[in-house]
Amino acid sequence: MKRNKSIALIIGTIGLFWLSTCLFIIDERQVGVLTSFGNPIKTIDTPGLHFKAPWPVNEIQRFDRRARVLNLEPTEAFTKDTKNLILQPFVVWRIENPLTFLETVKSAEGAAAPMKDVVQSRIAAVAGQIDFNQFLNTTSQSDGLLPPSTLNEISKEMNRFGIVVLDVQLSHLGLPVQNEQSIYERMRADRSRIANKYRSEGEEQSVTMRAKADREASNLIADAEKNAADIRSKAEAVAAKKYAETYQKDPELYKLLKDIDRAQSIFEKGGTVVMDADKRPFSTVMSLREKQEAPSQ
Amino acid sequence: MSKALKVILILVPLWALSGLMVINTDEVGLIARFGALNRVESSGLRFRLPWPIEGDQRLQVTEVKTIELDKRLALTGDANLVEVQANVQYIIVNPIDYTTQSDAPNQLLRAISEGALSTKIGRVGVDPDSFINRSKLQQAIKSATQKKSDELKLGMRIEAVEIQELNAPSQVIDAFYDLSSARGDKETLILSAKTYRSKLMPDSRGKASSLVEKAKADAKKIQTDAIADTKRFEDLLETWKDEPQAVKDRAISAFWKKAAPSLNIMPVTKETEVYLESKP
Repeated sequence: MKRNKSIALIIGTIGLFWLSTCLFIIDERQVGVLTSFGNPIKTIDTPGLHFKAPWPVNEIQRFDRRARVLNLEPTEAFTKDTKNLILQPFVVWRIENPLTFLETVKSAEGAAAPMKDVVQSRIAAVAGQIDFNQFLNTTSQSDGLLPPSTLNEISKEMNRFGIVVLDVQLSHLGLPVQNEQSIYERMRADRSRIANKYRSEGEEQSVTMRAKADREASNLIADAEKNAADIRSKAEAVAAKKYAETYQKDPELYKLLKDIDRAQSIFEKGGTVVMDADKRPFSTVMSLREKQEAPSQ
Repeated sequence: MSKALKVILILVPLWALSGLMVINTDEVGLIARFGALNRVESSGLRFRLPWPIEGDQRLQVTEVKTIELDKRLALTGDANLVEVQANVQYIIVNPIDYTTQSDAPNQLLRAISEGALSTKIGRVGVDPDSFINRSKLQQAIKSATQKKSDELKLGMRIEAVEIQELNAPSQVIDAFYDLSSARGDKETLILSAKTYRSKLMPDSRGKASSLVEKAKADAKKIQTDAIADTKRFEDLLETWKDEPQAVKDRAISAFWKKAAPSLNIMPVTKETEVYLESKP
C-alpha cells in the first residue's frame, strides 16, 4: 500500500512538472517565438504569463528585443578622389521579426557575421562615391560623418534577417599611419608660414611706427627752429629800427661812439696791433692819444 | 503529516513576506508581474508579491555617472590631426526606458558619444590663433549625443560632456609652440616701437620748446641791449649838443685807460710809413 502511495507521489510530482511547462513568462525585455516540434509557429509579443501545450509539443524560444550595439573593426576604404581613410563603424540594431530572425541567423552571435559584411561593404561603397572633403569640412551641419542614405541602405539589406538597423555611425575616422606623416608635415608647414607672417608683420609695423615717430619729431624741431629764427629776426628788426631812429638824431655822435666800440673790440683781442692811423676807427681814437702823448714826450 | 504541515505553515509566511523591499532614496524599484512591467516604486519600505508572481529591479536615478572615453587622434574638418580625450556625464531619468529599450545602455552611450565626438571634430577647423573653441565643441557633442540618446530611447539625460584634453599631436607640438612665440615676438616688436615713440615725442617737444625759449631770451637781450644803447646815446646827446669836444675827449680817454695797458700799439700814418720803410 505504502509503495503504491510513493509511486503515485512520484508520478504526481513528475506530472506536475510536466504540466508546468504549459506556463511560460515573457518579460519586458524579451520577445518569444513559439515552436511546435521545432518549427516556429508564432511570435509572442506581450510580456506576462502565457500558456502553451506542454513539452515536447510546444517550446518557447526567447530573444532580447532591445536595441544593442555592434562595434566593428576599423577598415580601410578609398574616397572618390582616391584618398584612403580608416573607417571604424558601429551598428545599433534590434530584432524586428523574431520568426524570420530565428529562421535565418538564429541568434545575436549568428547575426554578427552577416551584419559585419553588409556594413563594411556598404560603407566602402558609400566612401567611394564621395570626395574626401564631404567627410571632413567645416560647413556641413549633418548629424554624422556618413551620408544619411547609408543607414537606409544597410537597414534594407538587414531586413531579410528580421533585423531593423536603428543607426550606423563612425566611432573613429582616421588615416593610415603612413598618411599621418604627410598631415603632420602639412600642419608644421602651415604653422611655420603663419609664424613667419606674424614676425614679419611685427617687423613691418615696428619700422613704420618708428619712422613715423622720427618724422613727427624732426618736423617738431624744424618748426621750432623756424619759429626761433622768426622770433630773433623780428627782434633784430625792431632793434635795428630803434637804433636807426635814435642814431639819426645825431650821426656825428653815432660815428664817434661806433668807432670807439669797434676799436675796443679789436683791441680786446690783445697782442700786437698794427693800425693805419689815418683810417677809422683808429683815426678817431688816435686824435686824443697824440694829445695825451704830447705832454709826456 | 503534521510535521509537513508545520513546515508549510512556516515556509508560506516567509515566502509571502519575501516581497518586502527597502528602496533607498537615490533609487527606484521597477516591479514586474510575471515579467510584465507593473509599476514603479519610489524610495521607502515597499511591498510586492513574492516570486514568481512579482519581481523587482533597482536603479539609481539621482547619481551622476561618468563615462571616460579613450584618448585618441581625431581628424578635424580642415584635415588636421588632434589628440582628444573627453568624459560624458549622464543621469538616468527614465528608468523604464533605460531597462527596456536597450540591452546595455552604457555601452550604447559610449558608442554614440564616440560617434558624436568624431562627427563634431570632423566639422570644426583649427584656428591659427585660438586652436579650437573647447566649450563650443563640448556643447555640440553634448546636444548631438542627447539627440541620439533620445532617438534610441536610452532614458538618459546627458548632464555634460567635458573635454579634458584637446591639443596638437606631440609630433607637431613644437610647431604650435613656435607659432605662439611668434605671436609674442610680434607683440614685443610693436611694443618696443610704441615705447620708442612714447619717449621720443616728449623729448622732441621739450627740445622744440627750449629752442623757442632760447630764441625768446635772445630776442629779449637784443631788445634790452637796444634800449640800453639807445638810452646811453640819448643821455649823451644832451651834453654833446652843448660841449661836443668835451664829450669826445672823455670818451676817447676812457677808451685808452681801458685799452692801452695790455697793448703794444704801433700806429702807422703816411709819415711813419715812410719812416718805417727808410729805417733799416
